[in-house]
Amino acid sequence: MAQDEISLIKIAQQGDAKAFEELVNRYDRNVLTIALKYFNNEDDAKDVYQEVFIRVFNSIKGFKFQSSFSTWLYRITVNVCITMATKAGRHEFVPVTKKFDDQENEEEILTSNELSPDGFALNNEKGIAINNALEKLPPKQRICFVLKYFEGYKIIEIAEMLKCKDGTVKKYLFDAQNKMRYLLKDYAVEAAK
Amino acid sequence: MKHTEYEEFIQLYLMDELEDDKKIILLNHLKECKECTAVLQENNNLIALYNVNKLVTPSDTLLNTARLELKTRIRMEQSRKSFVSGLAAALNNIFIRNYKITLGYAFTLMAGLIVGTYLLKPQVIIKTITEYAKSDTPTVIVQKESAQSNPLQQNDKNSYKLKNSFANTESRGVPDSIKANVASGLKTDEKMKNLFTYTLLNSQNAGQKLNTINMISNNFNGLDTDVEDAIISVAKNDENPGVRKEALDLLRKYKYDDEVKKALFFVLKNDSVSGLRIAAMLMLAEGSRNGGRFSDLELNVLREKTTKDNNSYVRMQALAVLKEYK
Repeated sequence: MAQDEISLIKIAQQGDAKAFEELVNRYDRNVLTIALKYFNNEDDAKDVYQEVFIRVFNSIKGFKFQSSFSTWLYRITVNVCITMATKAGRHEFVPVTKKFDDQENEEEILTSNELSPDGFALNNEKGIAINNALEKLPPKQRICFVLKYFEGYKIIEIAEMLKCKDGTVKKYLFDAQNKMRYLLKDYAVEAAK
Repeated sequence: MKHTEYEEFIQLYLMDELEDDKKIILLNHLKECKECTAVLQENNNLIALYNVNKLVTPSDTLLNTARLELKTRIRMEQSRKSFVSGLAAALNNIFIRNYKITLGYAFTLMAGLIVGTYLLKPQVIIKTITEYAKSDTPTVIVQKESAQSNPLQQNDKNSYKLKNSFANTESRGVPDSIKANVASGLKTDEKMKNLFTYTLLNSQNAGQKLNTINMISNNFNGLDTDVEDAIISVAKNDENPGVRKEALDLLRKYKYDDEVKKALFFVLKNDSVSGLRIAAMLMLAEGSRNGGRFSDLELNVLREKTTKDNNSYVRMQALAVLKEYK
């Protein structure tokens, strides 16, 4: 961990709002990206973002530098994602991609200025298919999948975030990939052509 | 190796997470296995497909909105925290500090109560039964006076000491001192009477009381009124029905006088055990046949018993006594 980051954390631990904001600004884009890729829904992503940083704010005094700040932060992010996905699983969860199935909204959404200014791939058929398939994965498999295939983390890093063994992450990824293979069979063959 | 294991190797290989030795094994296998080569190709295609979503990043608008909302929430959290910490501090002041004071007062009060209980308790000099048996001084009389003030509730230190002295004998038996004195022929000795009286009135052990009653019965020679009073008291008030029954039977040996009659009427009126009421009724009938007289009040009790007693034998006997009574 860089020296300036350590001192920034220590200042934030003493209740300094500016130091905390600085820390947030360093990592919040990554947190929001993971949440967005995990939920494929801006509102849910924002909820994860809020929850993660409120948890960080409330527990930063207890951070003991036993891991890097980013690992600790992403661990919280992973936990919040899994918790929210588990809760959402209990009632109907409607992701953004589902809106595209609705013919009445399709044109409006596709022409909206807010859509995909920076490559947000929801208007992409393949992207929709991937997200639909992703929603069918159990929360832990899904987070492993997102962190590995979308964010490019190493298995050992994911294991550290999930606080589990490498073998467990491999199992999650193996199962997740097999399900995705089954769900995206047509696209995989098409891609091969 | 099975194909599923190779499939796992394939996934790890494509993630660039497969160890070198396993990579060699996999590559050698792929040269021979078309099935696994197809799986490799399919997985590779999928990973290429996932790259579509790799591009997904939050817009600046979304990020800025999230930051603004976070600031608001953190402000709320800070005010909540300050409220909670303020409340905790206030509670701490109210409870923790005063709690210590209260505890101090409670402790002082308890200490005062304990000290007061010991200091203000009536000082009765007690000697153990063994000591007493060796001594000529009738200290038990003092004990008796103390005990008779509440004959059926002996929880004080005196009776405890007495019981301890009994502990050297059989737990249900008569104290050795009594046995020794009876054996040596001190049947009418004043000290013996006191001992009997004391045991009947103060012992918490029903076995001891029963044995004492038996001993009085076996060595009966018209012991004095103190003992008779004690037996009457036991017959009327003892908690144990067996002890009351034995005491009642022992009263047969005494002269049927007013005291005995009153005790019998007391049992007849108040005892909840029908067997004891029957025994009292029979004794009264016997007394009546031997010329005993009843007062008007006692006759009313008998009349009442002819109709209101729960036990039919008591009712019948009461009726018979009234018929015979002239």
